[in-house]
Amino acid sequence: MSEKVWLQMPAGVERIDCPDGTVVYASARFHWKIRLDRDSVKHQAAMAAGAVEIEDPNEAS
Amino acid sequence: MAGYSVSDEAFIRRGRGGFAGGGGGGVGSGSSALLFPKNVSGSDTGAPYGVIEFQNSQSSGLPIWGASNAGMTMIRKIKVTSPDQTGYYAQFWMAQGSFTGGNYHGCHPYPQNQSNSGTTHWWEIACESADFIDFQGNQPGSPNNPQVVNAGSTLTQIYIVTRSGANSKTLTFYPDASDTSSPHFIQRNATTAGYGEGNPSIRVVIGDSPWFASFQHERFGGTKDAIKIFNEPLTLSDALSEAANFGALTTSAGAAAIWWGKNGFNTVDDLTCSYGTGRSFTRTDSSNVLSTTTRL
Repeated sequence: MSEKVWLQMPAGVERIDCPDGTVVYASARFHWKIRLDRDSVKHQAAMAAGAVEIEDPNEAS
Repeated sequence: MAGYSVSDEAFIRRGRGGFAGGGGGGVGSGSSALLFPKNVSGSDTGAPYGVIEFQNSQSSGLPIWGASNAGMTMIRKIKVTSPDQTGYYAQFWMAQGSFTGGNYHGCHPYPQNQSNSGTTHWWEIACESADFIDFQGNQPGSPNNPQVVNAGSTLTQIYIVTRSGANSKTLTFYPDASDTSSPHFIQRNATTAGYGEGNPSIRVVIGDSPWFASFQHERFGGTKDAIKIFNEPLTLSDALSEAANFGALTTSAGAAAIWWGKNGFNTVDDLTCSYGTGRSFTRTDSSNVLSTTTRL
């Protein structure tokens, strides 16, 4: 199982359609923070869209 | 359609929802409704937390996708306090105690401006790290006939979740049961692979988001008069029948699948099921922000 990591998506990017047909979703509700498998196509697509890895927001509170 | 009295314990005992603790008979109706406060501000994280909740529901007859892994149903009579509160709402969650990006779903008002500064709202389904706000499952950035929240109006609402496979769930929210025609509902066909699978630990939370400290408070901001939660997906026809009368279980499917419900509240701690399942919610509200008010 791939490691799950938190990403900060660029504000306003609520979906990314990935090459394999899957979709990455993000929400203003969660401040555009998402959690994905590091080795996944979704992670690659999110990083390509400008996402950056961040610490777990649950730990930051 | 035959009616099944909430005090007809012998009938209800046969139901799949079952009893958690042996249960007494139904209590009929409570004298009051529950009043949940509004957000202090849209971005606030410091105000008190006040919810009613049932933790580890997966161990007591209500996993995230229902008792048979086929879905669940929630019906409620509520009023959003007028004017709308600023920011996000949380009026019904099946969720975990912290935000993990998965393993949750629910239905609430959602700010039209997609921000915790928003003061006007659409009805939404929340799941899959996203928000869906119309009958086509569009996100807030590209709405098509979203359903506007009219604060101050009493509404009976229906939320039906079905699961046909690990990668296929359909969540449908009718924010006004008096009109269930298209486009007057919100629907999300959740196809995220494995979403919510593996029988995660779940709590049913009404009143705020348990992860508020990491993001913002998302209070209920309104009145809850009555609710029925079923651990199976009802047909819309049966759900409409159940929605028309909180004083009874009106369908055989509903009587078989009732998990917990309330037909009014005598106090803020009157949280034992009105329909005889014996289950009780817990009030997590150390600052006593919840109160009772006149029934809707």
